[in-house]
Amino acid sequence: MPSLSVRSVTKEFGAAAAVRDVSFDAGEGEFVSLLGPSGCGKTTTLRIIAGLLVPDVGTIEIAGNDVTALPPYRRSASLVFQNYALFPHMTVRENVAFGLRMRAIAKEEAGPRIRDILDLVGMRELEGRYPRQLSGGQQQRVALARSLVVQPSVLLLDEPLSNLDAKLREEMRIELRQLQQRLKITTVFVTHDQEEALAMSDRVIVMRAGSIQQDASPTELFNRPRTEFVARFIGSANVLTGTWRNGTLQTAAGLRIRIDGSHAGSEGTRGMTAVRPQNVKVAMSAALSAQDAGRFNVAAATIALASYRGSYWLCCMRLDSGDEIQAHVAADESDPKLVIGSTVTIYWEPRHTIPVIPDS
Amino acid sequence: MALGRVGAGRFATSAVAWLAYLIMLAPIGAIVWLSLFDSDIIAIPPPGYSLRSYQSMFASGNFIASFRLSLVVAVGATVISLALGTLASIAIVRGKFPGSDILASVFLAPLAVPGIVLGLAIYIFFFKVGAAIGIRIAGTMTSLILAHVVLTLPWTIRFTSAGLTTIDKNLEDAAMTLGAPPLRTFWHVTFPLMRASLVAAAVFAFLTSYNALEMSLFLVGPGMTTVPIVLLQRVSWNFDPSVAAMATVQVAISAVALIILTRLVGAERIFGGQRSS
Repeated sequence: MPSLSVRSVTKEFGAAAAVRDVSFDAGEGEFVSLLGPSGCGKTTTLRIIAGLLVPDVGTIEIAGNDVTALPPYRRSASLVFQNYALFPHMTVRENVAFGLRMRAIAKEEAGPRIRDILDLVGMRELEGRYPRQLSGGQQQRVALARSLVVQPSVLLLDEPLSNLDAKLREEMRIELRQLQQRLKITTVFVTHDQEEALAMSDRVIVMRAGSIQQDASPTELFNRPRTEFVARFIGSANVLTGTWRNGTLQTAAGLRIRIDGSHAGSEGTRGMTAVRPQNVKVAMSAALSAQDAGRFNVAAATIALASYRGSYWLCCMRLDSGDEIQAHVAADESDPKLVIGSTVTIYWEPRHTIPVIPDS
Repeated sequence: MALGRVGAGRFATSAVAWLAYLIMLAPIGAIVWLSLFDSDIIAIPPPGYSLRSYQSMFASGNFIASFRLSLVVAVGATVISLALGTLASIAIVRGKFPGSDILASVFLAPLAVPGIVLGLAIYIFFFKVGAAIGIRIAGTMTSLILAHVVLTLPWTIRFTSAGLTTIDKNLEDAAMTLGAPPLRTFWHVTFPLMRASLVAAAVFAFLTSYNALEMSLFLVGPGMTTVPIVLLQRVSWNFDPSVAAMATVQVAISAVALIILTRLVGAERIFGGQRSS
């Protein structure tokens, strides 16, 4: 039985649908991310799960109980807000104690629970401080402790790391994930940061304009994006459009793209494929051997731009066919060679050609 | 040279400011001065200075009774308008129902009506309603308090809704997801964070009611007089130092209320409204 079931939830604000027919489950102890650009409906979905919004259609089940009609204070789901929403007139300890007080938990039980959770997030020494006396990272830990101490069935996180600076955000990512795994708590995490979602989640649900685009593991999402939107949103992608001819996609500019096995579309239909820049290789010699040419998608290209990114060069090229393509070239071996205007050969394996559904 | 000009400019600005203060405060100074005359009439220069006008004021039952009445009415109007104003603000600020903006303006409307018109209208209203239901309302203490609520409510709504808008709604949502029903959320989260605006609202409501003259003129019953009415009567009858003494006490009460307010809340928070998180 999943800890959380979202079933066909739709919510409209005025005429616009904020969330349209969204369904997903989160298994016991699973870390699920809702990922998408702002306005995609991910936060609305989270607030519906918390009970702060009532869906127009659909149901929410937490631990097997239909809670759709229950107010937030009768649900076992606690929410960590983007701005933490710590009570400014209460100390750290009072903030954490709040949920237990509302549940009328006796002092003898509440005391140790508060102590344990404050130890867990490393805020025990600062329990007498007020929120305004804490740094962003500390406030974030307190907000987490306040939500965890009530032992919710589902922990909801609304972009909790987005107000932290880059370095701290990286640390908190790891810390939060470790904490979640230690407590084995079912978690729904809302973010617009694809890197964050990939790094932390068991499963990522990509949303766009109120609907789910893809619900998959991080690796599957990256390697097998289902739609053009996902391909572009997760990492970056060269998206090539064309018509299927003899099992290859032929672009308007004349490039023929081979694809693995059964993934090709039916003859004559329009199609779209994506290739990750990481998978595109750049050969400085003019031509590949005949054997290699048979195994790869190969094209001649001219370097239009090379931009240094630390561990790699981002190399933008124009193919002789007129299509544009980007590749990541490992930095150590390429420094002197990526001369703008020089002619190179690019190639990639057909298995790295991903068919995707174009965005309407 | 340039520096000297800046210095001169600054000097001129502060001189104007001090002049403005002086013009505003001079009449109050004059009243305090008059109240200390050792005389039954206002004669300048005074024959001497003493506290006898204060003695005669406190000896007069009329004065004391009017202070007491003003106080009871002001406290009553403050408490009622504070409760109603807070509830109205919650509805207007948090509810955001159709027409809530219009309602917010309607609540402020009494500020735009001259007190004397308001007083007359309320008197006629109470008189008619009282006649219809067979209970005398006009001229009672209750009617006076209710009428003052009309005057004080715009202030309490303004201050409490200003206070409420600065409270992050996420705080209330957080409390609810942590298991607090709406009333407990209000009591433990919203109310403590509104305290500054509640104090400000209370003080302004109190002062508005305490100093209200025109409206009360119509509504006081036989034998009921508030301080401003007594002052008006005395001034039109015979302006002597005891009137100045009474006015001084009146000013002192207002001043003390404002000092308490700024001490408790801080002037910038009353008018500026700080973010609470």
